[in-house]
Amino acid sequence: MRKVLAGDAFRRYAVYALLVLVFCTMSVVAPRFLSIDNQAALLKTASLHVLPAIGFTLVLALGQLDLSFATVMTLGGMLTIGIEPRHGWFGAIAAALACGLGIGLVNGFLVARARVNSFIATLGTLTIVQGAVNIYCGGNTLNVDDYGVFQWLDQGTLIAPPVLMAVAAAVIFELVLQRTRFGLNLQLTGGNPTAAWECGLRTDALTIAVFALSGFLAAAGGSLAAMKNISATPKMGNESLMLVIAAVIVGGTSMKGGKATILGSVAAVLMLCAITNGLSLRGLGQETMLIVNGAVLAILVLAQAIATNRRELMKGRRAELLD
Amino acid sequence: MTARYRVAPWLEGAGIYSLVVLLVLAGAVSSPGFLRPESLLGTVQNVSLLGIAATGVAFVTYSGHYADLSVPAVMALSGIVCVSSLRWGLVPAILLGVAAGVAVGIVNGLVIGRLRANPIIWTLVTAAAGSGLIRWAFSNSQAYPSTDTAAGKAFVVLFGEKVAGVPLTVLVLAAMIAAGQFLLVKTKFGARLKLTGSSYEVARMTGVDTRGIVLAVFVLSAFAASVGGILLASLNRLGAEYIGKGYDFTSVTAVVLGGVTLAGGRGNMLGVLGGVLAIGLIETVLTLNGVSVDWQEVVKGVLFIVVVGTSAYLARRQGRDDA
Repeated sequence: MRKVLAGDAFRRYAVYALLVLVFCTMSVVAPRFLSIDNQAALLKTASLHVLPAIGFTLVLALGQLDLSFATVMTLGGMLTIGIEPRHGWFGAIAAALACGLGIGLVNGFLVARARVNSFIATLGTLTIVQGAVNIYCGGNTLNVDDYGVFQWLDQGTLIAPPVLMAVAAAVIFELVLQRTRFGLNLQLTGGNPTAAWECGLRTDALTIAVFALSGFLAAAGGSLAAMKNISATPKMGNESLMLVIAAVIVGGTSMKGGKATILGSVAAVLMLCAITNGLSLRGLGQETMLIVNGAVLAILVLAQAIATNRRELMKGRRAELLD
Repeated sequence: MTARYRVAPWLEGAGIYSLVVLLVLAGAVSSPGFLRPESLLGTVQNVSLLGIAATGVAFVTYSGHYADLSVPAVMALSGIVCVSSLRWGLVPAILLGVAAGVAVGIVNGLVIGRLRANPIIWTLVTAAAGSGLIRWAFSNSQAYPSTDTAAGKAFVVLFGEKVAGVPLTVLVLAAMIAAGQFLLVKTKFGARLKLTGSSYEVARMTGVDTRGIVLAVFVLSAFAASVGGILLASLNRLGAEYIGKGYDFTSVTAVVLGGVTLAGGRGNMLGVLGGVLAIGLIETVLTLNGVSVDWQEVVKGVLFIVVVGTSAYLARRQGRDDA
């Protein structure tokens, strides 16, 4: 029994061990890595990926996929920057969040009511939203002249507003996921949709709510990133696409649904950003970052796969006879 | 409804051809020259590389492993390897390019087949590591075919080459579709693959070598992507880390549009051809009507969701739950 649990514990906690390992390695490799300034920069960069990562974790906990989050981020950023000159930051952010929520609702309806596979539905909305973004901005980068919000977001060193927002969001959603009825219902639905339905859960409403949340969080993340850069590019969300997907899986959320950890996702985002940050401090190029990132991911995914595979093989057999 | 359930297997992918016929009619109405053989061939040639990559991805999807997201990296790798080994002659260069791509496929197939790693995340990992390795090995630069040598000259005209008036790429596409259809429908491998895709556990318990099957589908996918990548390098007249970008999601779109469902074990290659043709025709017809590229993306996204959603709905109505 202990061995059977070992795979699960590994899935859950490996990322924290790896995070510590990466921090130790990087502080040796790049001496300036642990300086306050660099840590502040690292945290600010990582915090921009946290909101979409939370949304993606929630969707994955439900056993579904939301591939559209990266383009929804771009849309959120674009709308924030595009509408600000006429309606101010408040109106712009409200519009961006409303659009994200709307796209999330569409995704949710397609998956829950129209029963389109979530991979397909969100692949479709991804294409649509990217087209819409390009139409909106005409393929150009949008800028604003208002530096106030940028300075406000960039104030403080370690405890900057975006970092605080990311930490607060992560803690709140982790509590929602693990401690509230909504979160537990969500994990039950992800783990076994039929059982959840037979328990009387409104699985369709849950699915729609989770996709709507994912769209909302993605738009919020995009909006935050755009405000931090005071500009929005037509491909800005794509930087997050691979990073967030990889981080959520590596963080310990199962792609089969039902097992999710938001803190794990956040730790993995930080870990992946730390690798990039440390290597670039060292003056190493993009290619090294890609290789190291790929290698770290490969090791972790392989280790998880081996652990789960062993567990699968042991199911229904006498564990002590293996080994 | 049971009567309609018994459609002949070769007709299963026919649904998409109604869209293809509609699009051809729409094209004929919008432009008188549309139905000329050379313009039709041009339309097919525009999507021939997508089609070549999609035949490979179709095997992965058919086997129940969703998609091979390493397709862009494999295309870029085989393209750049081929371009930079042209000094040994055209044929050895092409063989080397294909070998490099297939090597990635073997890694994918072994890890996913033996360790049951999640195909989406694992192929993402190989894609990241692959593009990092390409950048590192070619020190972040592109490779250009030297037009001084005979092999270099032959390589740059490869994409535009015509055999008896038909573009070479269209012939390659036709050959790969035919070979793929033969493999799927007529061989023992196809039957085993269908069982693996429909129900992995049943296939394993029946004594099918599921690990071998999974290895084979990822090798086939990498092979097809390599062929497409070499032709793409010939079209661009250079080999670079970025040339396959976008082929990961578009090839899945074509495959799923063609009736190969993500559930696995359903659909066939003729359907995939239909999906590829539909994408090409949508682009051509919309361009003829003066629709911008961005609006084309929006239309493609909507059509994708509608077509796949409708076919899944119809299948469910017939009691086949393969959404």
